[in-house]
Amino acid sequence: MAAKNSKQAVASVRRARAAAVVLSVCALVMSGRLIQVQALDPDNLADQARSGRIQTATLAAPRGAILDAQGKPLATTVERYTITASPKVLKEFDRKVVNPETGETETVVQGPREAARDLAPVLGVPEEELFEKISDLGSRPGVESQYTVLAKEVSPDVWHKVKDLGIPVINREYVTRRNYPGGALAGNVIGFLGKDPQSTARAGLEREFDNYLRGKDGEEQYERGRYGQRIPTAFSRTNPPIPGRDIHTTLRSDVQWYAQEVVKDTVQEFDAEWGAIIVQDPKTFDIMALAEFPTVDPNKPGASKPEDMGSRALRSVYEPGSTAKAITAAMAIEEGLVEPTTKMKIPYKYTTANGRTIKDSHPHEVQKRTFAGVVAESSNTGTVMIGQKASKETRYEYLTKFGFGQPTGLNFPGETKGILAHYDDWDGHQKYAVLFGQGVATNVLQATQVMTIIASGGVAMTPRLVKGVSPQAGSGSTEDIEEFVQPEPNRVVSEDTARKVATMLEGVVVQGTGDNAALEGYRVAGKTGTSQVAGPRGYDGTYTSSFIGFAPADRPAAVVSVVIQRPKNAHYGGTVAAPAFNKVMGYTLSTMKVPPTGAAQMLYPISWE
Amino acid sequence: MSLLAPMEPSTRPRSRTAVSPETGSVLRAPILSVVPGERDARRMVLWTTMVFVVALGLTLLGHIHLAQRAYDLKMLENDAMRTRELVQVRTEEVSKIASPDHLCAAAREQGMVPMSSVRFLRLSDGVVTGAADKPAMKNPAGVCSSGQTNKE
Repeated sequence: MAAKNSKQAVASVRRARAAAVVLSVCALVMSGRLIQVQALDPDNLADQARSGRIQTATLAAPRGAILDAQGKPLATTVERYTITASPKVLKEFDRKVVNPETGETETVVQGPREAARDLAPVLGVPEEELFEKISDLGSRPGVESQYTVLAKEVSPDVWHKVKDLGIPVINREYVTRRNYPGGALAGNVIGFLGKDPQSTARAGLEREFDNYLRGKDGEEQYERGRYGQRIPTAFSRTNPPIPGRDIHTTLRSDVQWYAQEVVKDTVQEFDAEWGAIIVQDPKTFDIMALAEFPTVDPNKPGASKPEDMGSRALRSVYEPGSTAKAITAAMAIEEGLVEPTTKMKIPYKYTTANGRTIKDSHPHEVQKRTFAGVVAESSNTGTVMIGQKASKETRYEYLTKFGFGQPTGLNFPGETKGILAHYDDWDGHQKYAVLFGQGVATNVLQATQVMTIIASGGVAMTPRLVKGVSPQAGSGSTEDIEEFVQPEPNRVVSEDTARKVATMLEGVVVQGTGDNAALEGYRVAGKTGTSQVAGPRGYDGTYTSSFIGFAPADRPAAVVSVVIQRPKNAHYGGTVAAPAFNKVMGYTLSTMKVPPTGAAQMLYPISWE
Repeated sequence: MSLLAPMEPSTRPRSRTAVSPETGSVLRAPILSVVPGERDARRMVLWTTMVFVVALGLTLLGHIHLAQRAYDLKMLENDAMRTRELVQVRTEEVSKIASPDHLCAAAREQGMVPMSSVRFLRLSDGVVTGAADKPAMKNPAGVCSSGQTNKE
């Protein structure tokens, strides 16, 4: 009996042990699986489980802003939404509405007609158009669409109004839109973006600095419900976009705007083809304004003609005419060929050694003029008589040093380096014509740089339109800028030569052709320019009128250039461009709070007996 | 020294066999095992159930709390987004209003005219410098002509 019991007990223990082993194995397998699921590869398995319900959306990186010198926005990026809906759900949906009679909220069943009726005034889309979209009339029979676009580029304000309507399964998709709050303000410089999905930068600074402005898109994944709607507390994963960096320009919005107003008025007054005004700081060579007319509004570039997009002041060339006599004057003084007070007899016509005849703009008797008088009255014959004393190589060297035929260093898209033939290629007329600004072509900035070099005391610097970039987008500070490295300045002429030329240029305004540029209370230096426009078949009888100068002449704070192409009714730079210079320079000095220096004006005599 | 110390007689396991003093035969002792009493088993079931119920309750509370927090977080995120969007919209409006074109138009509406000259007072000697006042220009630049883009 005892033995039997003992055997039973042993068997029982064995069974228990076997059960324990089986259970342990099960537990071990389950634990292993648990570890695999929870610890070793949880994300992958969870992703697999969710993959059917996950919606992936691109988060567009906000493009960096373009700011003026004081941090005011010239171009910004704003958020907009594409509003979408599910026609399948809107076929019939429950909606809570307030009963106007009882004032109580009650749930009613509505459809596409009611949805379209309420959405139309908010979205600004015709009700019938919305109804067609929501009713899904365009889809194939038997196919129920779950996606339709109701409106694009909707502002956040409008989105919230839509949301407050309480119509179910209306979603938004985030998009960005470029906004130019000043409209056409500096539109020619800022450029614009294309309407393509990638918003390709098409022109101006937008294009030149696209690498800085463009950020890196992010991505958002979220779990969606049966009808495609986002489930609020369910899985979501965001890889945030990296915003672009802000560009800090040297432009001053107020000066830019005023210059645009003036150039527009001038072009319209003289029914000219186009006009440009540049305002530059002679201490830094920063461009404070680069105004043109006609120009482009970057908000609606399609409204402008293709030739009005971009910057003519940088893209187009013209013969600078007499404003380039400043180079000849600087060369002649620097090389010791002449002094401002050197006495000369100036004929109306002058025949060169190779038999070429050079004429002044107006017939006149032989005049007794100093070299300062030659410049003041813009005499071509007097300029050639002095300039021809320098060799062709020297003439070419000075034209090059003053920036003709050279890239300005601005690297603006489409910018021209002008036309300056090598002196070996100059013909019998050109070697004299370059002395008074013909036979050579520049853009407006290159012509402006000549005066800026004189105003800066004979030193040339690379002009600057962009100071630098923000360390990150949206900082908005003008203090925290990573500035671009500027090339070292280089001396073009001595300070003494620059000062003498500046005094001669003062004479142009006080005693010469530029009296319309005079600014009461200030000492102004400048030079008029009137050059013939070269067409495909030579000079076509039209003119480019210009005035380029600086003030105060004894302590320059601003350089202003005005170039008007093909004006009608008048064509002299002193008549067409100088008044515009007067307005822009006056405004710039008052905006910059530059008082007159009060120093007495000591001009060179312009004539002798 | 050996690692195995000799056992004391008192700690040795008792033999399961014994010799009968009467017959001299070997007697085998029955195998004994400890079995839980009925009362202990009931207590165990009670405790297990209690622990289970409490754990379940705590888990439920935790889930409710987490869900509530998740909704709170979502609502706060929505608020933050709405505020950010509002800031953006207002910034956009301010930029537009502060643009020179708009400022000029607003100034003109209030009857303001462009200044014709600026004068400066030199503090060192009290001299007024700058352009003398000119009569207001008939058609000065900067009078908010509409549109700066196209030739008219």
